[in-house]
Amino acid sequence: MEKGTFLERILAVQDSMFRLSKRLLTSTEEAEDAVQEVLAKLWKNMNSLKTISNLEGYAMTMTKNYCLDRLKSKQASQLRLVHFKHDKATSSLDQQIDDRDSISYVFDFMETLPEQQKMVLQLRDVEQYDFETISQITELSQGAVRVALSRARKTIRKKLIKAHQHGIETGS
Amino acid sequence: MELKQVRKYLERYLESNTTLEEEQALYAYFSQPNVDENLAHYKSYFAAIAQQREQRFSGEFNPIIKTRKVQLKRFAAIAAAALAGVFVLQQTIINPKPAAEELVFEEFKANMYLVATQLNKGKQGVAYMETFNQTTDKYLKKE
Repeated sequence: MEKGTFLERILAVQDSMFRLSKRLLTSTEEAEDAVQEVLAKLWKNMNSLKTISNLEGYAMTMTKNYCLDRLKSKQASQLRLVHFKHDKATSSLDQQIDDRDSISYVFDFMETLPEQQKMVLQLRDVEQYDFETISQITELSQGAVRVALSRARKTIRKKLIKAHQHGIETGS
Repeated sequence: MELKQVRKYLERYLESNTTLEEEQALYAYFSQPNVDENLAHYKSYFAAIAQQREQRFSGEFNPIIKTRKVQLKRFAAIAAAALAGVFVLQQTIINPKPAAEELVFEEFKANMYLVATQLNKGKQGVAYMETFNQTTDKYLKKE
């Protein structure tokens, strides 16, 4: 594989890597750093990665592992709290618009999910990967992926219904 | 899509049994304005997901700059090698010709030197003749 094609293939997944990092780390800055780190690592190990057929999936797995490591470290969790507040503050500016408001609720609901469910929901609904790829990226069995995804979707649905009813009640 | 179908898909969606195509159909249904009232709560969910897909990595990956540098270096190296090659070629192939010409030139130079010395001798002779003429003129005029 030439450097050019290698780079092209890596850069084709950088947005997905960023979105997954953002979902897991919450902060945009931290997510960008994570992507940079993983891209640099991939680039450095290019020669040993030549045999990997699913480079995109591999890059996503590395991103996942990197983010989970970051979350494990105490330092990251402190940063995460700071940025979480910051994100909320900016989203409250948009709350005048109803649609935007309900969308930001959805993001808040996603935030409350356990990491595994967050990840699976992100990979399936946002990135639209098939179950085989998600299983590869998350290093979970396909069955476990389906269960986690189902739980995530149901939890959010429950919260959506609650919020919606609440909205109707206060509206009337 | 019919409402009945949407409900069926949603049911399967919650059980993680929908295909990507069926999920796509759900996104399409919930992105249009006429969503059934009983399903309205899903609207913001699918909108939120779709909105997330628009997120882009805005940072620039450094190795791109590195590769450009490497490419530039490689180009410079190739250019230098090519120049060196041309130079060596000139030394080995083109130079022998000037060497042959040089011989001719050296010969010519030697000949010209000879001519020049002979000419100088002639010039001295001419100069002598001139002074001889002048002095004889003096005497001839006086007489």
